[in-house]
Amino acid sequence: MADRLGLLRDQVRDWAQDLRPYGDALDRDPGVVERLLHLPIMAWSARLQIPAAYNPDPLVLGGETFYLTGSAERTVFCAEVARADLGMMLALPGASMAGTLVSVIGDEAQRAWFYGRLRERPTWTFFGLTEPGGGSDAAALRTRGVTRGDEVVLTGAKRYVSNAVRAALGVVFFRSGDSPLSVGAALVEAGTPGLRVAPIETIGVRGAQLGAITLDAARIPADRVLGRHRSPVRRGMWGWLRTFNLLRPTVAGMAVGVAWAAYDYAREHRDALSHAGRESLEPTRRRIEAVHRMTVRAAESVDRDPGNGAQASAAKLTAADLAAEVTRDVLGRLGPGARVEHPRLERLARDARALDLMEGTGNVQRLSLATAYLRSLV
Amino acid sequence: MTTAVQQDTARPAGAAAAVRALYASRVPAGVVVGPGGHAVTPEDRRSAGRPVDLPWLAGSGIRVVAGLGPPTVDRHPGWLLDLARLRLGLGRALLEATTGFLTGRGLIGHQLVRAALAEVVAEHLTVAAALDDAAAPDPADALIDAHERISVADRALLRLSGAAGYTVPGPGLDAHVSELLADVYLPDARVCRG
Repeated sequence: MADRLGLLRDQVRDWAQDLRPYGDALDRDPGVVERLLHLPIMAWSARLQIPAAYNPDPLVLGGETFYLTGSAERTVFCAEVARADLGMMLALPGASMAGTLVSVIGDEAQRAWFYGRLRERPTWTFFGLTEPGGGSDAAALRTRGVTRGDEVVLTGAKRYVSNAVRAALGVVFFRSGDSPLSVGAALVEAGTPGLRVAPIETIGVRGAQLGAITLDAARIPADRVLGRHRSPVRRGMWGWLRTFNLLRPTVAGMAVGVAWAAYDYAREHRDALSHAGRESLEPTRRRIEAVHRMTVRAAESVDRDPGNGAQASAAKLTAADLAAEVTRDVLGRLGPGARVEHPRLERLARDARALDLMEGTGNVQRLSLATAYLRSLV
Repeated sequence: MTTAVQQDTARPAGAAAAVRALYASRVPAGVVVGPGGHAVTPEDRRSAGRPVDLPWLAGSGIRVVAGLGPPTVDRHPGWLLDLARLRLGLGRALLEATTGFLTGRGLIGHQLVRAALAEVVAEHLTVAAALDDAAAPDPADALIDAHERISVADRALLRLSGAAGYTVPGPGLDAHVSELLADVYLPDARVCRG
């Protein structure tokens, strides 16, 4: 890993250790994260992910400046925090996915407003894309946005939205007509009349506190529609695809982090491994190392060209599979009843399953990657 | 630099030409002997030992020699890395050939087929990242892993090719030569579990 990213990795790894003792508590009570805002990792997560123009207080390490806005920096950050605890990683405050979309298609005033809000205090944000029944399929988007004077009225429903319950603001995707160009996204504040949020129970990553958002004629100012200054082809789907390309390596990074966490667990509990389970962990370590390397390269590739997400798809599908494999492998090495006797590992295995679903399932990534290959994009 | 040379040779020209090019650039004289006393060499390289009769290699311009005595592969730093790059190039060529075959057969639109291709593309990217990272702390083991992954990816492609991947000449032949190279030069038996 380049020295610059190595500086970031080492610092985040150090900060993330603070989170490990709280992973189990967060799994039982998502509210735990709100009592940890004094930790450096929380504070920096909330203050970073904001572009230089809006952030006078970046992270400086060894003379290098980090804003955590590029995919490579974020991927390194996510891998290290997820290595400590994936639930915590997904529960961190800050610009997160919504911030990436705002940076890709937001206008000057929208960026200033959004990032200004984030700088006031640690703030959670949400990314309202997925819909009940339709997944994250753009063509199937059903939430409607109807312009009435200087307002847009949003009606529809969103599902599986991370941090929806605790978020103060976020983005909601909608369509204003039937054509693919009519897909748009808007900044929406919690507390907007007509917007309701309900928690959704999940098997793993319970710290992320997924939520269901209902929009019942929720009115927002028309100037909160992102990318209004752009042509129709340079907002909506265009911004959405670029945002996902930039974010996908970060999910791959999280998956690599979970794989490392399971590997770390096996090493820390070497005495508990079954006879068969003591077979060398070296091949596992090398495989994680190789996928980690490829993931950072994919992030660097998408930083260079956010329009090409092929390597990001490859990293995401490979790393998510890896996380599932390694967590299951380590459980197996610990012998019968491992899920009972090793609750942290049991949680890792539950959490790992979420990684296949996030930012497009593994099968969606496979089809995207194949299409990219057939178009000579990789 | 070597990456480009080996892969560029391997992709369009095939396994035998790639082996000849590798010898021409890396081994001025003699042959490189693997741990078992075997070598894969250009046909015009003189060496001791016993030529192995492999009908499917006839006319390819390379040959296999056995009974060569102590291994010399350790005296050729970078040999396993060069071979991995060569084999990755062959794997990529096989991917292209398989894609062409599937397109011609009207099968490329099937989601199952696309997913299988994507797995190979992802694997090639992972191997390429490993081979490009000269700072890796465990180059020997990581290289063996890379070789094994290349073999497994090749086998996955051959499964998509049906009998077309089993003929001589045909795309399966280069994959077989690629496995042969791994078999002769890797330090243990982890060559292919595909």
